[in-house]
Amino acid sequence: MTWPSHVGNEKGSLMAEAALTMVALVGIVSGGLAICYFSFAHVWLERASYESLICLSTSASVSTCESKIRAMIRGGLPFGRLLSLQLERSENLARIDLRFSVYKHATLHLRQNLQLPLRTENDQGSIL
Amino acid sequence: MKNENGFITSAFLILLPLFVAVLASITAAYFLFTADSRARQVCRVEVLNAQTTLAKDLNRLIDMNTQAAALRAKRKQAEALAASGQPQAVAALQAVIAEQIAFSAQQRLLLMKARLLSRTAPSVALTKAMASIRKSAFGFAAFDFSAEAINGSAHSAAFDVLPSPPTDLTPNYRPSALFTRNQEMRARWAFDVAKLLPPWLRRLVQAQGLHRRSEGDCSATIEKGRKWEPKMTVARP
Repeated sequence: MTWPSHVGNEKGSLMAEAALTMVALVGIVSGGLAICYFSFAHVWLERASYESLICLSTSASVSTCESKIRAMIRGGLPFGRLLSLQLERSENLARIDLRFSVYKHATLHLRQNLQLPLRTENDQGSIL
Repeated sequence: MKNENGFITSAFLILLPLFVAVLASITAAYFLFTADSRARQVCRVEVLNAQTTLAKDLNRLIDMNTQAAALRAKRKQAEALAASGQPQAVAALQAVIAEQIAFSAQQRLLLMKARLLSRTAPSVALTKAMASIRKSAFGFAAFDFSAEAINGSAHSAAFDVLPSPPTDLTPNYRPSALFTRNQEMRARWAFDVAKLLPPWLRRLVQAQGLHRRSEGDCSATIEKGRKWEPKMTVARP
């Protein structure tokens, strides 16, 4: 028994449409997840930077603070690569500059400063 | 057409739970993350405020040493004169002693206040940090931030100053050699993330070996700079 030719054509076009729909769905979901991961990476890196500035405000050495932030980034962001990391401490300023590549050209660049010594609202200025 | 609809529905049904699960995980991570950040901030502000007050108290106590030494010298002089037994000299000695008692009360009051704050501030910081975690968690009702879920510890500072001479009524006070170390106050808290989840989800997470521990701490001390100043420290175990 043979199928009429128009049935075969219809089946083929249905398959093609279904495949396209599937690709579109996977694309949308992957895109959504990528945006979520990118946003999370940004928030996580901001926090890691802040924590490393707090670390620099203590007597800990710059290399100790650097190892800490590297471990924190590794622990929180399984995908992506740290391109550069610079930590500096002077008498009245702690500074961090980092670049993190989430995927190829999707790079995050963060720069933060913290006035030293740390003070709270009760003691002029609110830095903490 | 029916087939196509069926295929889309199936694909949607397969991908939707995955998407929802990932989204829920990211939301949960975000809540935990903000709760942790706020708690650290609250704790840091608390211990740094306490150490700022204590540093001022310590500097004031040290500044009082000049007057304490002057009173000791004055008393020595008055005692030497009073040894003759002259009523005027004895009266003068009594006046100096009264002055010393009043001054000593000021020193002791300052010391008592500082020691009390050194002892209580870390516990207050811990309580505030844990309250902040619970408050943040109300945004995410699935978490159970009951008292059993989080455990914490607070380490008090000693405000370790030594009187010199030790038996005098108005001694000079100076920080001990280990003052900075002994003055470190810290608060530490930890919770098993799985314990915060509702029981049905907890079992699933534990079965998958996904449970993680979240830890936070803050600590500060007082260090000698131009004067004694508060400083954040890296919490020691």
